[in-house]
Amino acid sequence: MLAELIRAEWDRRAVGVLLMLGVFLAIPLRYAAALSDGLSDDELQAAQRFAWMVLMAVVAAAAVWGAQVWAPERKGRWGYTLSLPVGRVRLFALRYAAGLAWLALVVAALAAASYTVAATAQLPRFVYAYPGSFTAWVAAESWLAYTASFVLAARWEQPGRAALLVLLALFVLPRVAGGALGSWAWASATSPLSPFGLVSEVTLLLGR
Amino acid sequence: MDRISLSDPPTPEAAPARGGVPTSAAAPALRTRGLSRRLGGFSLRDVSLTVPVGAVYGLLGPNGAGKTTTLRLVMGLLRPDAGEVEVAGIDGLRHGAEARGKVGYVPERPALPDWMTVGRAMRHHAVFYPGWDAAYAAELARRLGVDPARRVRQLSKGETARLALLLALAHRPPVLLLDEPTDGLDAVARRTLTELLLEYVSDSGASVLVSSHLVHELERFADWVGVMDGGRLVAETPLERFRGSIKRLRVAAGATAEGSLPFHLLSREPRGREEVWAVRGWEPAMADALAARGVELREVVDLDLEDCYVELIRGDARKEAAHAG
Repeated sequence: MLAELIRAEWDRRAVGVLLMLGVFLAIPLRYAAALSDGLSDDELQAAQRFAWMVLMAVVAAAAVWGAQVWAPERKGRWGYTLSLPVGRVRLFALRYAAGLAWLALVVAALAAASYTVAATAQLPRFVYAYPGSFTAWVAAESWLAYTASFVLAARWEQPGRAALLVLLALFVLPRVAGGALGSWAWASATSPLSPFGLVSEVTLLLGR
Repeated sequence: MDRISLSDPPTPEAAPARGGVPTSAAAPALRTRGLSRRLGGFSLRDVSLTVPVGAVYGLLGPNGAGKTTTLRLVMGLLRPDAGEVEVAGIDGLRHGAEARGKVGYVPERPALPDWMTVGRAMRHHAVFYPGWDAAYAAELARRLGVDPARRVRQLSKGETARLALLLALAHRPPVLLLDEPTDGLDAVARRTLTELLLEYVSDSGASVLVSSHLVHELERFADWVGVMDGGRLVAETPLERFRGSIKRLRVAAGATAEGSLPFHLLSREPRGREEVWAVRGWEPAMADALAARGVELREVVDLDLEDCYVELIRGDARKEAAHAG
């Protein structure tokens, strides 16, 4: 049953999955290429900001992904899915797992690209690669965005609002809090006040 | 529930056998007891209906009567505030998944996975039903003219309804739950669906609960009828008994008060020097009782199902208005 639901998710989201796979594979590779060209400090920081922005966009996509899971059910007043001979909790878990499986594939692609770049790229002096924490950040954040949107969208009539609320919670609130504490504006989203920032910090500490 | 008065009500289990399949004397195909649910400004109140094994039970009622809500409660799409649901002897509230496995359901607005092709949707659906009959599904697709290569989102309303019926039948359920399955379809499509449904019922002995406001359509194939109005089940009886119990009487003007009548007076309208009464619970022997009360009975008019239904709904509305006043 899970295999069928994973396949159904693929039928529905193939374009999105392929697009995200492409983005996640391309970002670390592009970053490595930029580094090997020899960047100035300003250029390096700009490249870092760009990478974070793209990754945040991908996290936003995960939120939308989660919020859209139940859209067809809402359209049909749940008449099809809930009439299937499957318990609600099991159905909920199966649908959740099916969506998460494809998200995991996308994050796995990012991890593979990040580790490949870290192992092969010639980094400038005093620049260090943290592919583990980088991957953990995106994985944690995407998972959180997907899960929260998935749960909220199951209860709310307006799945778009669910995604919006999740993104506010993930990006804006930590940014406001980070700004109040004097953190960098662009990096405040990754401050330890945000869940993924916490994961990132812990991973960094463990890696030292 | 204010049921139609039946002097000798048949037990629901004693429904006629169909297609040579013996009917069970045990649990009915479907039963609700005291089913209630509040939804915004609407309340479904104390709905207790019984679909006998092998019966085609037509659930009639005007728009907003509570037919769809009742079916959604039976399918577990809504949780009742109170009451019980039993499907094929299974407690539908405690064992919802098992109960739903016994049912082929066609919702009012079938919203199937529209990004799939028809063939893919059939394979997807099959995974959830151990009893899925792929050969029968293919045959149904051919007979219903549903092209497996087309995307669900490309189907017309009629084609979607046909696909929904295909999905409901192909796992060969013992109970069918159909919510306005032919609503909005043209006459040919309606006839096709009805014939296929009757064929399935005849071959399998399945029981059917079908809601509709198309009274003439139900009259063609239902053998039991339930009438809903204002969130209540106001009548439940075999179709023939329903039709036989509601009559229109032509009586001389100036007849007796309602309270002393041996039947339930649904409505009375003056027509010149006569009155036309719509009555419920009429028996031929009551003519003598009327004569004893000085009522001059001039004619007893048989009604078709639609007239019976309309008179019952009007009478119920009149009673509700009297209570409210």
